[in-house]
Amino acid sequence: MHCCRICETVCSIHHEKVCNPTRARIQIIKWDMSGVYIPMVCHQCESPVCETVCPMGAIYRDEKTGAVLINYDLCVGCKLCVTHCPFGGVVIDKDSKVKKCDLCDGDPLCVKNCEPQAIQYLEASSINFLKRKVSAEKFSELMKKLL
Amino acid sequence: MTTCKIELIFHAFFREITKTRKILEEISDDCTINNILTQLVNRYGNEFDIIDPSTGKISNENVILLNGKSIRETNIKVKDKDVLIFSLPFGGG
Amino acid sequence: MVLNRKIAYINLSSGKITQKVISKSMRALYLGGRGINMHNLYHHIPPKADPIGPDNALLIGTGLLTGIPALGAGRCDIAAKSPLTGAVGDSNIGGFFAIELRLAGFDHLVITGKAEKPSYLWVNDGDIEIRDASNLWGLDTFDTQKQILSDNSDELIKSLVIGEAGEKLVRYANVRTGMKNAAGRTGMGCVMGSKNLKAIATRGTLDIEFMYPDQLLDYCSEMNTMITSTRWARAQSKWGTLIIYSNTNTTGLIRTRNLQLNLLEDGEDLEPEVMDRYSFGMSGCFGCSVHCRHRYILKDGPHAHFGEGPEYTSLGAFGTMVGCNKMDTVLAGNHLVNKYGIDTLEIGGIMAWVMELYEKKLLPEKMTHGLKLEWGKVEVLLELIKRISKREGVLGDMLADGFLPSIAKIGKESEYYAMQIKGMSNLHSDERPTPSLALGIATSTRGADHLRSRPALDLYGLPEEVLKEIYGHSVSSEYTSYEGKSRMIWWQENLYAITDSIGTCKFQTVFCAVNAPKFEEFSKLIYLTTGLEFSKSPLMEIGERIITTERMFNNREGFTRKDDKLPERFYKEPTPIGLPIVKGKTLDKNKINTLIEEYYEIHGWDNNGIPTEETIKKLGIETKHSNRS
Repeated sequence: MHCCRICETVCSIHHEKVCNPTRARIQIIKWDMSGVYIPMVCHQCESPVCETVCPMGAIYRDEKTGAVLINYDLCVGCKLCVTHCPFGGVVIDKDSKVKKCDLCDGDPLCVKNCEPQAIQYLEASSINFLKRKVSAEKFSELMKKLL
Repeated sequence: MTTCKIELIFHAFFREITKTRKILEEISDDCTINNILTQLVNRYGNEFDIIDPSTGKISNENVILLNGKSIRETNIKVKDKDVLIFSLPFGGG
Repeated sequence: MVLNRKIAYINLSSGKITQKVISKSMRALYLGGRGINMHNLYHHIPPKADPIGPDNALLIGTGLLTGIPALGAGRCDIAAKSPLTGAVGDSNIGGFFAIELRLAGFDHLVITGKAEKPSYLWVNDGDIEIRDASNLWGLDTFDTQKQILSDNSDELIKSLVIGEAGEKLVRYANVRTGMKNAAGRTGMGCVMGSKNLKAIATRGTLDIEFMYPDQLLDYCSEMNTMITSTRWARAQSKWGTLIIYSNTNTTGLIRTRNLQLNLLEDGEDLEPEVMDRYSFGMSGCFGCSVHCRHRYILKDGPHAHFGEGPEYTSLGAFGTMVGCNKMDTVLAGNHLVNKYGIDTLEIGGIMAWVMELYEKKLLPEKMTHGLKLEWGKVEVLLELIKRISKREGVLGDMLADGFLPSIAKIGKESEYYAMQIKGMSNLHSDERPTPSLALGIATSTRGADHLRSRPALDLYGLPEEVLKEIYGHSVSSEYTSYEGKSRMIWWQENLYAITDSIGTCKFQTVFCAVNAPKFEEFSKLIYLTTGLEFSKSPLMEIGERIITTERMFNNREGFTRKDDKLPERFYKEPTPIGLPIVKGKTLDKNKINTLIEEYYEIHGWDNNGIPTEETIKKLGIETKHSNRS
């Protein structure tokens, strides 16, 4: 992680047409004095809690991108989605509207603009492979020590 | 043909590839920078392919210092006890 | 609109605070950041004001482009009359403060007067308050920031703070934010201390509206790709500025043991690769895609700590200059100065100087209270840093005042060994083999300094046609040559005046990389951000206006050509070691004088370094001293 707030800034410029990192849908939680930064954003859950709790049925999945989206024609702004999401994935904006990551129509700008590739957007299959590869590398190191 | 001994020092990405700070090299006395670069490409790969094809000179993204002087031409002959540093453009503080 | 940001005038003596919109005509003349600060420096400080008196003005400025997601556009410029030199005081700081200030509705602060008791400024969404800081006084720069967060129960606050050095009025105390960012040079922390101002804390949530947001976003991506595709940036992302050491300590362009040597022969432990032992990742400032600083842990020993950095500057300050060859020592020194809030470069220069005086028996023994100022000892270094930062003992108190007052106390003979210009220490680069770099530090408006005009490109032997295209004039490819170097300095100086005014990072322009954004790209960024149109030559002219305004301030305070003077040692002692092209070099005084004259002429200044009436008129610089708010 690097923390230059470029992801937050491009998110606010793209969605709100202004620079205001506090209005971004992605936010980096920082512990400045110990050098730890964790990005927090909607996980696009398989069974989204926000969708389950929404009394208006305003939350749905976009078939093309897989993003969990809000239908503002149905949304009444009750904020149950905000209180129930375990990750803070839905945020309340200035105008009291609830907002969340929409994956920028399948090509997330935060990822595109993250030069150090601290945030990546990958196919599920490649994530599986990468995780297995990392584990296999650890095994391989261990085997070398044993032999 | 006589031979001469030169010192090659590697910084930054060049050190990552060669995994060493410095090597002593024995070369023939009619050897040019170009010959040395070819040998290094053969030994270590394309990280040492630093000639800009459009100008035939060492590219502006790399710095080769011959006894401390930055050079761009590759037909310069190398002499005994020369020091060649492979680096990148950083300086100034 | 982005241009609706305000300037606030804060008088700490009376408590009066007024706000004004920054006029478009001011933007057209000076852009923002350093530019507008320099205008205010000239107009809001009465001539011959005491730098640590209430009349001095502390000027804070965000850049015109602060907030765009590119080129490290989160830099803040801090200015005042320097308590170290009496000339222009001006220092630039990265991190996340500038963007927060702009989000809070302000681009510029003009702070005058002196608070009755320790205070801090609270800037939040259009409001400014002067608050009590008695619980912060005495805290180091890390704890001050933590305390402000907890006092306000808000973890997103960003603060500019001073440490103990600023409170004790050490003349080169700095202003700090975050783990390592510092406005290091010219003693801006001392000015804050003199005003009883411990911190400026800000939190903002107001939208910054850009003129053409979608196009700007695309162009910012293009700029970031442009910079990160350079080999320079890729190396910088991995090793930080420490990588400079690789070149300088192999060739012999690095000051060692003050100026006794120009290379540290057993200095392998200071090489950038050594940071692998300590680093657990890199970190960057706002809007930066390069990320040039390590986050590191020094695990063992009495100086164990978590920190960020160190910069190449600290490698000199606690390494080569003081004859030390251990990275552990550099990290310990770096962390300690960050805690106290004192300029790493200045203290390194001062310590190297007294160590040489001690060795040459030119330092009266009674001054040191038994401290043996020997080269390369970590305990000596840390003790000396502590004494200076807290003004402890005769030596600490004297050195805390900087070079010139210390020379007066120690004696005339010590002056020759002081590597300073206008009373300010120079970076640990050895300029004897490089006339262009020497001209830059001699003429810099804020005293010996490499960040005003350093033409790092000169060191790479670039083809002359490439140099001609950049500088618009023929310049020799040899860094040992004097040919065309005045033009080079003039051009770089204008470029850096612009980056400091738009608030982008100096490294992300033509500093180290040829193919980096410069005037043309800045024009487009300014247009897409603000709608203001400047092509290349008006931007160059703004650069000239800023530098000429700084010159006029210095002239008014008594600085002229006589002060654009290199240490005599550069002319007398040849470099003792290094590779053939570097070894045995001194500078030629006549040729340097010619360069200085050429440089004045290009700027339209007279032979004494004073801007002519014609130049002042051409640049449209207001000379009448306006009434203070």
